[in-house]
Amino acid sequence: MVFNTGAALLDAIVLAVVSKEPDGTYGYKITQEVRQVIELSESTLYPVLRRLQKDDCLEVYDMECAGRNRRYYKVTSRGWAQLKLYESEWRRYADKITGLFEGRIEI
Amino acid sequence: MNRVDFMNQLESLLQSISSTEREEAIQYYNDYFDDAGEENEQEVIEALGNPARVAENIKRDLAGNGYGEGFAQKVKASDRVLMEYGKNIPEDSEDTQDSEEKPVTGQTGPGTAGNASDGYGQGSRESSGTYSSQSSPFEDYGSGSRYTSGTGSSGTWEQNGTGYTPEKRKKGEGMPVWAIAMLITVLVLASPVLGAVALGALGILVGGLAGWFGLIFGFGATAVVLLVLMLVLVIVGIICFFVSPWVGIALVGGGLICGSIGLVFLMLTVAMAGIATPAVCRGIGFVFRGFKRKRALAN
Repeated sequence: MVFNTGAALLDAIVLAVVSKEPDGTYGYKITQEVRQVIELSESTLYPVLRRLQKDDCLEVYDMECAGRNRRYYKVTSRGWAQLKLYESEWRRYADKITGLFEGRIEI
Repeated sequence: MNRVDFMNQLESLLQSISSTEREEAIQYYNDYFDDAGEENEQEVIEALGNPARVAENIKRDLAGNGYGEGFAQKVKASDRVLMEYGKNIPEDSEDTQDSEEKPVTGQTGPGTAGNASDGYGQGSRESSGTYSSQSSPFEDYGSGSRYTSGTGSSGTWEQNGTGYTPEKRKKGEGMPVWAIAMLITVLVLASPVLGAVALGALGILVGGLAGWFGLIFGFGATAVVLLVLMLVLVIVGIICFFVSPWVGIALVGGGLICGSIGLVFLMLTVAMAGIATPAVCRGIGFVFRGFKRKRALAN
């Protein structure tokens, strides 16, 4: 992977992944799914989840599963709004870069 | 390393953060291991890198500095002791050969990426949800990146910009110039006093030596005198014996007593001169050699 994944982009990706599961999903699964999309160090996921939770974009709940408690993350309404913002911003940004590469943008 | 070691190390590395945060993090990673399943334990450990990196990410995030692997230089020395030092922490930003875990989030080839994600982290955190005041978070990310310009809208990139050059950690070698100058000044100013003190020390040394040898000499002289006295008394005693036996015996007896005392002094003299003096000299020599060796080592 050539390009950085900065913090906001990470937030966006994680939000997008979690949003695919309407009832929420858990840390390990989130990590695996994110890694299907981009190469990402597993040690960076937890801070992202924590921040999203603190920023009220994700909510957590515990569910009993196979004799232990599993913590699930779910996108909040604020999280959905944030995700939409991220998506549109990304489109703008990516368009600009692509435009530059393809010569569509006048410099 | 197994899971238990990993988690123990992680927990001790997280001692510096609040206990709530620490518990949450530990809980998260324990769940993570559980969810991965025992069969994947080693994979998880490899993918996580090492506990120090995980702890760094957590701490950095808590400190609001953004995440990514570019910050690894801030690892404390004490943490490094616990680290199984691997290629995973890109200390000098030239680590391009990470293993399968490909730390994408903060790391491109030359490791400058750390900046971008740092700065970016700042930008997004302040603007989360309120993009109006700033340009796109993704654009911030771009502008602040590898040239350490620190001119991003968040305005807090300076620290990140410099973060990736490890030069800050280089310590000056030897004493700083100003300290040397001060030392010389002090020495010059104090030289009269120092001179007097030195003379005094010399005097003590000379006096001590004189005393020591004087003592040896004194003992020796006493011994000689006493022995001579013994001889005289014994001879006179024998002569007197023929004239007056009791007087003669008394004289001989006195002479013998003198002789024994003289022998004691003789022994003392020999001991001091023959044994103590060389021993003391050797001791002093040893001490000096010790100093020389220490100085040599320090250089």
